[in-house]
Amino acid sequence: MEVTGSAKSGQIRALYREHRRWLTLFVQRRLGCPHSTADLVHDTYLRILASGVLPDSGDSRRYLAHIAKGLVVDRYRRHRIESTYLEYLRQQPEELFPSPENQVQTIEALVEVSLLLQRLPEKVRLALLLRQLEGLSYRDIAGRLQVSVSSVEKYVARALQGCMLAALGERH
Amino acid sequence: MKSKGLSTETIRQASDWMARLWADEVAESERRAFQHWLEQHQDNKKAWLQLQQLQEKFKQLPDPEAGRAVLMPTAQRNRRLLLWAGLSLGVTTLFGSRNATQHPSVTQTYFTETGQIKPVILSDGTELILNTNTRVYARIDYHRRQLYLGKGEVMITTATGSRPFLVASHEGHISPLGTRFSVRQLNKQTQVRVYKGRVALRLAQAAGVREIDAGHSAVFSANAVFSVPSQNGDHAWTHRRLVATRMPLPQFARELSRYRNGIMRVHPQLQGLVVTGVFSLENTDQALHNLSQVLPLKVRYLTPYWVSLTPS
Repeated sequence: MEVTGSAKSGQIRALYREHRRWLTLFVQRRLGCPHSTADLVHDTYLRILASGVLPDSGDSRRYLAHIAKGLVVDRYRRHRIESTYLEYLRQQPEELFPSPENQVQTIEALVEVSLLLQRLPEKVRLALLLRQLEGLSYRDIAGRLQVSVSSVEKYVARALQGCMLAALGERH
Repeated sequence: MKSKGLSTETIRQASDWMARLWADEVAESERRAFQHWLEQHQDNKKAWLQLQQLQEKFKQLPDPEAGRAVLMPTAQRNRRLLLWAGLSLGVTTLFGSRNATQHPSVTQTYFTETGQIKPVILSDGTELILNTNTRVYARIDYHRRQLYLGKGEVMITTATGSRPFLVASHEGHISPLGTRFSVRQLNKQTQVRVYKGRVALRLAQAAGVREIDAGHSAVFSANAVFSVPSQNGDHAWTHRRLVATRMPLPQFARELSRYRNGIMRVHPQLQGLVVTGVFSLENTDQALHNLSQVLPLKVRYLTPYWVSLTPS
């Protein structure tokens, strides 16, 4: 947040004053819940503050909408991962329950990995997961996906490339 | 756009090499070629290191089993489908030739989210009511009518018809004989409750047929059947109600938590309490609140997904 000079923080204040009401309606239409909406509007401005990138004056709405939409998608993804994970936990014996901190760490890690994989086609994604989570050989993966062993290698290569591009793109 | 000056081409090459070196068999000449590539350019080394670091993320998933459950739901579902194919005699070929990520086109899927209760009418007129968090696969054709319960619970009122009807769960088959009955998938067991008519039960790993008459229930594993007494309120869920008659609180909490996301805990001091009453399943927060009015307990929300019942 220290990246914002005084001129910038003035611009952000203006962005907040002029567009918050509109942005709140925009987000609420997508989320429904007023609490999450307030959070997400707040996060949108935080995101802009942290990136230090401000929109051109005529472009504010489009820019805010773009960032907010991205955050809405993230939120749905996280929610889906959280609820699938909790559902999984519920089927485990209580003695094996991880501590709350551990659960949060697991959810974070799952969100991170799913972000890397999100744009990959189903089989490409599965090929990498079967290798990395189940430790299967290419031959076994080929059997599981009903494709040739050479296709498995191509899928894995493509998945690795996709992950890497996703990871690099994300920082920008 | 690509940061740190790495070109898309370098990233592609690094990915190709990693995929190659992970193969089941790697020739010595290939290893040498890789070493050569690695030393050819500073960027190659950089891309390789970054790719390796990225893979650490997969290894760092604290619980691989959880990773599988969350990131590969389709793979799991299909394993179950294959199990179904194995159970339902004579249909293996239908599934066997298909790739592992597709549903057979003749199968319809019906499902509910947590908290949802939904009626469905199949093409032959059979009525289903899907309870919370349920997934049912149905195949109706000229020769047979088959249902597979992937998870959850379903109430089935069969339409009359001469085509054989079969319900498969993980642990066995149920063939109804003109009936209304419910099937619920438990952890490694299946529960059947018969309200009208009769059903025949065949276990996945045991010979013989067991029949269950109206008014009776059974829980079965893949190789054994246990009878359990039926209770009045058993099918109240089809009317979106939970009816408890001197139900131990932990059991009540388990039942109610089927209809909400997250985790519900009962304090050890409360384990002995029993619940009697009719609770709505439409709003489980309200049901919990009502519970706290009749029993000496407090409902504490750590988060909306984590509820604890503690002594008041």
